[in-house]
Amino acid sequence: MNAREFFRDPLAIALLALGAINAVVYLVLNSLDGIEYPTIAFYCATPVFSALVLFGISRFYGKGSSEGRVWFFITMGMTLWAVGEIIWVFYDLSDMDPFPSAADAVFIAAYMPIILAFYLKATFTKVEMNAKNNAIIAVLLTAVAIPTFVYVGNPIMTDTDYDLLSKAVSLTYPILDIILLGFALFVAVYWGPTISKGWYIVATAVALMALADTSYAALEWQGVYISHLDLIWVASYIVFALGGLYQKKHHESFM
Amino acid sequence: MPTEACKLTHSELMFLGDILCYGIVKKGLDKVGSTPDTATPSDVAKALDAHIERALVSFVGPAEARQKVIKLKAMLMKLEGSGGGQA
Repeated sequence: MNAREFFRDPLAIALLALGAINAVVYLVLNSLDGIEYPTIAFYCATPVFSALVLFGISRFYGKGSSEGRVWFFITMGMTLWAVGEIIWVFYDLSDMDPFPSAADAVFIAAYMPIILAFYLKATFTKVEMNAKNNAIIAVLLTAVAIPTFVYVGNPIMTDTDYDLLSKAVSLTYPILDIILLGFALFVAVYWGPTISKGWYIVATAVALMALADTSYAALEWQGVYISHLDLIWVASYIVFALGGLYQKKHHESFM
Repeated sequence: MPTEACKLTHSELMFLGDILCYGIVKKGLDKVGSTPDTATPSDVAKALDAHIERALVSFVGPAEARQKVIKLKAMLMKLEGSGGGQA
């Protein structure tokens, strides 16, 4: 299956269309009156639709299969992210500060099934480790971890004005992102060239999530919020679902 | 219930993941007019040539795919020789 075939899939087209609508709403229509509710609706629709696509993928493999379990847990995580986004919007519309809030508890809880899924995928078959692949993973992880520590970890930890809960929540996201990215890179680097090409895309989605979370933590700490940042989360949710869809289509073409 | 020949092939290709492994073998057997429940060692050998090897090339490359197919065919011949082709 090549990229052209993949992008003819109706679900891939729908995901990309949702991303494009979000981009137009955020970048072009943002200044119009009355656009707030459509913006929120399209934003929240993204993780909901991604969760539905991922659910379809887990059903395709079946919950009794190893691949099915992996996508089931990923679906569970994406669903929690969708719930988190909805709770966040509720806080925002009620003029309550959404950070830190119950939404963060749900967002953070979402990482658990996804980390479990990535772990299951990474350990499904014993892989022969090699120094070159390990070096690639280490370099990529370090490239994410160093700026995260320099621009987010260290300044937030040493800030005496920032309350303990905000500090803990701000730092939890980047840490969980790095753990998730480690597993995603492991699967992508060891399995990507052969049976799991879709995991290159999944690793990209996790990297986007890490970028969004780290940027948000850095900006929130400085008391700034740029709404365009939401588009990186939108991209992350969409790319996540596209990764799963690619993996499924790739496997389907041989069955 | 898959035949012994089919089970043997499944166990050798399980590194692909269960669903993918069963799917590829089933499609290969379909192409030679057989099913997992009735496949003899020679049916599976034909399925290896008709579909399974080509699918494996996409996952592990041509050299490793060839190696796996040769190994599987040798095991299937041995199974046929022992009369254990059917479940």
